[in-house]
Amino acid sequence: MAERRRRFFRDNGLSLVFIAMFVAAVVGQAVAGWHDFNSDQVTHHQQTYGFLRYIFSSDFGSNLLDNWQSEFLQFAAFIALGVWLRQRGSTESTDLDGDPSSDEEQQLGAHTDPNSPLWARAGGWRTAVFSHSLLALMLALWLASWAAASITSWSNYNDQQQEHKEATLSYGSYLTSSNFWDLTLQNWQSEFLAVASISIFSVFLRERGSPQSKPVGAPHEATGVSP
Amino acid sequence: MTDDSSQRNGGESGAMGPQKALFAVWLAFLVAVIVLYAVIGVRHG
Repeated sequence: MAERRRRFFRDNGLSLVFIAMFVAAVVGQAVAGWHDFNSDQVTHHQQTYGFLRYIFSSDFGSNLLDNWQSEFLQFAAFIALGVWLRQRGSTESTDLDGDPSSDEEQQLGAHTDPNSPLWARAGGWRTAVFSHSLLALMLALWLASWAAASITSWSNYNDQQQEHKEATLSYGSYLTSSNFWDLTLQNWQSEFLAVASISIFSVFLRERGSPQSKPVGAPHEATGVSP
Repeated sequence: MTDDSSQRNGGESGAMGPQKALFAVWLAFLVAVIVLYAVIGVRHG
């Protein structure tokens, strides 16, 4: 049992540590957001919220999902654009020469082996769907979290309008408002900045042992090289 | 990837049960949170 547990943590360390960091950050965000929200409520002579009520409020939902949607967009864009675009010398790019989407490179058709996933071996529509499943999931999560973020932000916006005795907006009108696009684009810009940074910095800099880096001795012009 | 490395890294024939469980739980969590706040926003909005 102890051996199985040890193996489970060894085999899944990257996911588990990031999930633990995510949980810790969300708890911290919830506590800080709750205090900030109540401070704002007191300032505006409004009713304060208990912690649970805040957790299940549009205010917390908006703070959470506005960030989520931009993360899923980052990965969807990275996955999709990486199919066509190259960055000489970057770990985040496939090789400049050759066809990385060929059956041989993708281990499809005659190049599958018994260990290939079932839908990769199946051929036809199942292989076609499986070939784009990662991008499809990221796009679905991006669109769903963006839609949910827009609904919670709309709800918050109308709450504030009512507090200030100003006109509320329909959902459709909110989607064209500067408030919605300010919230959306401030998250998008930071994601695109992060991808641009790793794409170009990984050409000339190294981190020994990291899969995000080329081997320390790899030439700067080496593209699509894994350690 | 050679047959050897497929076995070593846990291909279809390897024991990927814990990874499948982690995948399913994480995806279910993400979907549940997104749906939860969409519903909260709609009901409140």
